[in-house]
This record gives sequence, C-alpha cells and structure tokens, in this order.
Amino acid sequence: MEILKKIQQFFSYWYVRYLLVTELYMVDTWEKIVVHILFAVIFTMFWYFNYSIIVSGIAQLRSSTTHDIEQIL
Amino acid sequence: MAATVVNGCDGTSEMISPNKPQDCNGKQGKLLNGKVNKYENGFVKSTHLSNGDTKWSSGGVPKMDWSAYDTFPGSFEKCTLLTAALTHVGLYILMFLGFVNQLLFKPKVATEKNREGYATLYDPFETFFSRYLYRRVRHCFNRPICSTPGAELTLKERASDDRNWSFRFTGEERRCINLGSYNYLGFAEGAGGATHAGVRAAVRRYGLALCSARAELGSTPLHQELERTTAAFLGVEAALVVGMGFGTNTLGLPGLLGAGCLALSDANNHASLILGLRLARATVRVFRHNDVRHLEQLARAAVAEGKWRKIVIVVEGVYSMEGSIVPLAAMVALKKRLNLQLYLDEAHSVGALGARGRGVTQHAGVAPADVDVLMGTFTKSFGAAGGYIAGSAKLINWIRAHGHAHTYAHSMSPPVAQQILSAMRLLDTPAGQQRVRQLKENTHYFREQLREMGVVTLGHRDSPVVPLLVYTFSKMAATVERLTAHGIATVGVGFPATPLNKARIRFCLSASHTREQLEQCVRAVRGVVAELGLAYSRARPHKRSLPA
Repeated sequence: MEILKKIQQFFSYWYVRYLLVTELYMVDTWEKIVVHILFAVIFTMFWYFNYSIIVSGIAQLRSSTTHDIEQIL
Repeated sequence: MAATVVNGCDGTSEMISPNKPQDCNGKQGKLLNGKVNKYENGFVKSTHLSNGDTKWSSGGVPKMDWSAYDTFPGSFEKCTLLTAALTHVGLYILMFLGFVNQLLFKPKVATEKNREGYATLYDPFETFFSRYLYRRVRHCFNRPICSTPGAELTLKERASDDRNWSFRFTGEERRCINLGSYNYLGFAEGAGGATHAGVRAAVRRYGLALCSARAELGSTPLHQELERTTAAFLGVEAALVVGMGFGTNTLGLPGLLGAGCLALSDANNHASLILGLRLARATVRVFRHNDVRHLEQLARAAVAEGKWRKIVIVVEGVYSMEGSIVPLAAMVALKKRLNLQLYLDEAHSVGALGARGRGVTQHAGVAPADVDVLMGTFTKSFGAAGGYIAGSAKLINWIRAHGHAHTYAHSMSPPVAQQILSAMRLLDTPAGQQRVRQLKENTHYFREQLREMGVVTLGHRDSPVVPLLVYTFSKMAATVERLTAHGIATVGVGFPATPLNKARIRFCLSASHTREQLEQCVRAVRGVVAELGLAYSRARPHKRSLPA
C-alpha cells in the first residue's frame, strides 16, 4: 500500500509541475483537456513523423555494419 | 489664494536676484526653473557650447572613472534559455485559450455600440489581458484585509462561483504573517502603538480633515512643525508636505520642469514619476536600470546638443519591483561633473536605509544637499500617508508656488501629520534606532535564507524589498495560494507592473517581524520552493555564501 501511495504522490507532484510550467494550473478543466489533447496530437504526429520518415531515411545507416561505416568514413 | 500669491512673489523675487551658481548646482536653469529669465538661459547655453569648443583641444570634460565608485546595479540573475522558452510557450498557450474562449463564449461585459467615427474606449490587448489572463489569478490580487497591517494581519477570505469574474465573502478570516505591506519600521501598529496617544490627541484637537488646501485655510501649526521636522530629519533647509505620496511626484514635477527640459529617467521608475514627467511636458530619455555608464552617455550627448534649459536625472532610492538600490554616490559625482540636476524619489528608502534611517543618501554616504530635489513618502516607513519634497529653501518656495499640490490638493489630515511627527521623533531615540537595526538584521537574515534555497532573488542585499522570481503567472498564483494556506500573506506581482514573462513574489520585511515569525516564513517558503520547483538560481553554493 505504501508503495502505491508513493507512486501516486510522485505522479501528482509531476502533474502539478507540468500544469505550472504550461500555465494550465490556472485555467478551467475543459481548457486543460483541450490543451492535453492538443499536446497528445502534436507529440503523436511528431512520433509518427520520426517513425515513418526519419527512421526509414536513416535505414541505410542502421543496417550498415562496422565495415561499411569505416568505408563511409 | 492670498497665501499662494505672497509665496509666489517671495519665491520669484528671490529667484531672480541672486545668480550664485553654488545655490543650485551650477546652472541658472535650476535657480530660475527655466521660466523666469529666458535670455539668461539662452546665454548659458551659448557659454556651454563655447566651453565645449574651447575645451575640445584639451579633450573636454574628462569621462568618469567609474571604478572609483560603487556602481553595483543590484543582483539580476538571468534565467536559463529553457526557462525563458517555457515561460513564452506558457503565455502562448494562455493566449490561445483566451482566443478560443473569446470565440466560443461572449463575456457579460460592457461593449461599445454605435461608436463609428469615435476612438475606441477600450484597448483590445488590455481587455483581452484582464479577461483571460488577469481574471484567472484575480483571487491573488486586491485581497481585502480587516486589521492593522502590522507584523501580522487578518485576511478576509473570498470565494468565487463564476471562475473569478466576481467574488463573495465566505465570512471566514485568516490570521497571517504580513510579508506584503511596506511597513518597514513597524510604525503601522494601531491601538497601543508607540504613536497612538499623539494621534488621538491630534484627532481631538484638529479633527480628521481640514477641508481646504494648504494655500488656503488648510495649514495648521502641525503641518509647519512637520515640514520643519522633515527638513531637519533629512538635513536640508526646507521641506514641503503633501497629503498623497503618488501626487507628490505627479504634481511636484510639473512645477519644476517644463517644455525644453530634459529628464534622464531610470527605466524602472515608478508610474508617479513617469506621469509627472509627462504632465510636465519635459522630454524624457530613459537609461537602462541603474546603469551609470549608459546614463553618462546620454547625459554627455544631451549636454553636447546644447538645447536643453536643464537636464535632470530622475531616479528612485529603492526600486520597489526589483529591490535594487540606486548607486547614488556615482550619480552625484556625474551630476557634479556635467552640471546636471538630480531628482531622487526616496519612497521606499527613507527610514528603511542608512545607519540612522535617513534613506539612501546616508546609505551611500552622500550629503543631502548634493541632491537637488529629495522626494519621499510617509506611507511606508512612517506608517502614515502623504509625501514630501525637500531641498533648498528657494526650491521649496518655488514648488509651493508653482507645483500644484500645495495650492490645489487637499491638506494633509492632521492625525496623519501627527503620526509622521511622532514616528520621526521616535526614530531618533534608542528604541527607534533599534527598529532601523532590526529591519536591517531581518533583511539580511531573510535574503540569506532565500539565497541558500537556491531561488532567484533580485536587488541589493540591504533592500527590505525582496522579489523572488517565479516567471509564470501560474507559479505566482500557486505560490501565493500555498503561502496563504501556511498563514503567510504576501504579494504576487505580474504584468503590467513587471515584464510579461517576469512574474515575481514580493516580500516586504519589517522591523516588527520577530525572528520566530521569519523562521516560520522561511520554512513555509522552503516547502513551496521544493513543491513548485522555484529554485531557478544557477549561482554556485560557494558563490552564494559570498556577500552580495
């Protein structure tokens, strides 16, 4: 039980810090939700962009062996 | 009005006759206040130019060697790029939410209708700011109190049912340690205080108001005694007292300056000085806060232009939003070298600084007579109301006649005058001196404790105003809320009093705080700093222990 409480405290502490730093601390609940969703959408798109474009773009580097890297260098 | 005319005549005749340069630091401009003898002023200008010309070969007036003076502008730690960026992002989020709100819900506020062809009544940014940023944290501002603002005060609790558009009283009261009032020397005491008996006697004798201006039927022996005592307290020839501190600046400056005068004004000067300079129609050039090098640059450029009737440096003693102290000795040296004049607003420093509470002149070791116009207020250290202007007898006669406060403003209330008199006299007794020392001790203790916490505090270590930077509105609101819950009443300050991204908590220390109370405050602040992550300071711990 103690450990659960600690985890819960940890999350509530950092949630408040997150609210403070994004100025969401002082806005209404529906506004908080809008910005949370907005953040979620932005970060998901960012992740998807990295996943689909960047990762495939650097695929050659990822698949290359040490020997290839030496060749490139 | 008779008194005004007589005063005016006295002042003017006195001012025309002598042309002693030492009277008012060199330039006739000050003596004549620019209005009486234009020919003379023009003459001065030309000599000025020729002075410059003749001395050109020898290099002109040498530049100031600032290393010989204490030009410490105050501690202004810069925030990290990350903090600055996050603060801006937060503001953009608030703006975005504000616009969304504005689009979706029409607030029940006054709107402008059928005003085609007229200027708009409301500034769009200000209305937007007050509705969607300020309103959200309004519960931290304008909090009503219902007791004397001594070492402790009683807050009247409020609640809002409509997201801070309006408030209702809950009927509860909360006793808090007062870290918000400018009660530096602890003279705001109420019943049982050191000045109580005198004030009561003054009320019985003179009543509460005189219903007249000073120049008419509003002068009592109490006022004259107060003016004499103030002048003696400050170590100058004469003083003039006004019933309102803000009005002392706004009504006094137009009497001293006019069109054709140049004011070199500090970037962080108080609104009353800015308003006064605008009313005076003086040209204003702003120098960076407490930056004597920038000031010298501007002053030299202005002197070289040769077209100003007089050039006045306008500064404050302690800046209320930064807690910094003016480098007065350096400014006086510059003013003497370039023949400028100096207007010093001691609103927060008189009583609170200096070994004997004489203000920033004593703190900086400057003779009061070297400052041309000493202005200050009684609202802070003396626990009363009103302000004063002090200086040479000629200057004071001139302001009596040409400033608007003496002639038109309502006379200072007699009990208020008595409160100031009692406090000022008490200040020179051992008990009063103990208050000055206690304030200094409290200030050093509190600033030292805050520095150890790793928070960013601004200003000079002797300044009893201690701003703690929190940057965002949310952190300011959260800090004020949590400190109130811990029984500490303090003030959060944000835009427009500070830049938009530099919100701060301002602690004002008092001689009436006991060490136990301050320890309790420090404990509470430490808890809040840990909880909200306010330890922004990047100063190394070993640096922190060095004296500022």
